Amino acid sequence: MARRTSPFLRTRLGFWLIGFNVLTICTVLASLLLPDSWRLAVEVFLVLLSLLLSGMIWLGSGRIFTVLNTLHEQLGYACDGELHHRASRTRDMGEVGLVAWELNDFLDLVETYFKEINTSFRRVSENDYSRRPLSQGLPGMFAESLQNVDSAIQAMADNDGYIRKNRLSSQLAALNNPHLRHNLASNQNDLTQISTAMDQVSSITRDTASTSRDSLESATLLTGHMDTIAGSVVSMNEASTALAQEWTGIESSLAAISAIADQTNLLALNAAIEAARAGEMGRGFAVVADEVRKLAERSKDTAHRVQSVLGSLSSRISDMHARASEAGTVAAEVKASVETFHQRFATLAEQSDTVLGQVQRVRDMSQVSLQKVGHVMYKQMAYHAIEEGAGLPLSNDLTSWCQGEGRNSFGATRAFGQLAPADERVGKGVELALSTASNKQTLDEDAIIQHMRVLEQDSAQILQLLDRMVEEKHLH
Amino acid sequence: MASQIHPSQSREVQLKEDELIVTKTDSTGHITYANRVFMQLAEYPESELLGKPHNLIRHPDMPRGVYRLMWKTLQAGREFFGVVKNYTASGNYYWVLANVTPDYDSKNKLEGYFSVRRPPGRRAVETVIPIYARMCQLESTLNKASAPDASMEWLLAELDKQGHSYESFVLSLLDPHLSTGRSA
Repeated sequence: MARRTSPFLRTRLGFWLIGFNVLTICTVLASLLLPDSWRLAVEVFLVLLSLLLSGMIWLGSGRIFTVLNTLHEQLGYACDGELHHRASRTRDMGEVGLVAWELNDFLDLVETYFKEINTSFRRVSENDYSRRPLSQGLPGMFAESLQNVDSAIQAMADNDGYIRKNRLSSQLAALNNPHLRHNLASNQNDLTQISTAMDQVSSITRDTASTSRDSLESATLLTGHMDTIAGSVVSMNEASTALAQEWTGIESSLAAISAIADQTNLLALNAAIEAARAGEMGRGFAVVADEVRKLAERSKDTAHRVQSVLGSLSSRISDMHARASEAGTVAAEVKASVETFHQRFATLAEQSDTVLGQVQRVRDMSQVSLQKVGHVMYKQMAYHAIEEGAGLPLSNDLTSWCQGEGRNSFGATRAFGQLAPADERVGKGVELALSTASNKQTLDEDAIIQHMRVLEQDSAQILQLLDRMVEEKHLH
Repeated sequence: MASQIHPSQSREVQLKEDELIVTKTDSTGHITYANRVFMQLAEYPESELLGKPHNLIRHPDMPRGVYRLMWKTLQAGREFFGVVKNYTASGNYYWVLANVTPDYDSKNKLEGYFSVRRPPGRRAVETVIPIYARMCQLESTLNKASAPDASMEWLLAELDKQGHSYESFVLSLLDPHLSTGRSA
């Protein structure tokens, strides 16, 4: 900023003083040296010259005073807070001109300084911390002050960000907590239902086991009966074999009796002939008669034997009869056992179906419950990401489940059809809230909270739809 | 002035790190004050500046769209930042970071504009040169009436694609030591 520093006014003042002194010396010399006639003319000329010089000085200094007045006014305005006035056209004003320029420069600095301060703070009052005071080009205190202001604005920005973040956190928590509690309660309810269902399954299984045990006992009993039947049948076979042998004995006995009868007949005939021929000679008759008596004894004996065989036969037949009726009773019992057995197996099959149904329902509920927990986790991650202003590190598992396993298990239900659109809305909502939260310039909590509110509604719908899917599928 | 300019001999002159150019205009853009730094750099005496329109020093490499944006911003009552190339009286040129603010008197009436210009730093200049060239090329294909608006819209759209507003773009070009402020 080195400027022309010619001592312009001082030189001019010097010239003026020299001029007046020369005039004075000339006047003195004229009064001493010149004759009277000349002196008057010269003195008049000198007085005129002095007047002319005074006039020139007056006119010459007039503009300087104008500039001084301007400076005076400018300073007055500056004291009143108007910094935009400047002095111009100060050419050839020497030191006064320099002062005027220095004042202009000073006012430039002051005005620039206040413009920076005002602009920055006006923007701060509009919650915009991006316009910082620029200290470059300003000297000393000005720059230092603007740097301090900049640090202050940075602190305000940090503080504002902190406050907004806190406010957002508490609002998010207020929104999240009841929903989280509700979600957890719903999951708890699911688990309770699963547990109840498992209790039923286990009780049915217990029944099935005891039924099976009974069935086993029945089967054992049945086997015993069957053994008895087999034993009876063997005994009956033995009895009939014995009977057949007895019958052979009877036949041979009867043949013997027949032979005896024939011999007796022949003897009786011989005796009759001999008796007729010789009376005294009847001694031989006496021998025949003895033979006939012996035959009669044998016949009597044989008849006795046949009688006893018949008695034994009759007792064997009655024994066989008893055995047969015993076998009949056993057969009836076997029939009843088999009947019971059949019924037991039917019940068992029915119970197995019920168990299968329950197991499938429990499986579906567990699957859906997992998805619900996954969804709640996803939501919690989203809340966390919004609070931290970070990206979403978790993908939405529900979306892929809907396209794969979920479609296989629940594709036929009406609720499943509504699930994908709701899930898509939740995904969009999270994206929107995150992009709003990642706007570092200004944290728009109201918009974020609004996004999350809509998201919670969609989320509640998703949880309902998941429940309804299981209900629909196991309606029968 | 234009008759004396030989573009081939035009060379860059630079504003010193600790210097500020300050000029003031009335509400119609006519110069009412220029500081000594400006007069020295632009090589104009005060008598040739006062009362003259400020576009006296406009360089043909500057797209008209930038000035259109400046006036729109100022008329909305906001300050304007711009990286600007200007002519000196002898046909040389210099780059500045201009900051123009509307000036109001104590009765809150618009009195004129206050412009502070700082050295912009090399990075800012290198960044804007191709952008300004595109804008000038765009303007040359359109008629005079629609060219400034069209190139201004192009500029804003282009910056929007990069996720910048015009102001955040210009402020992002400043060397860290120019602005002590970190971006929030």
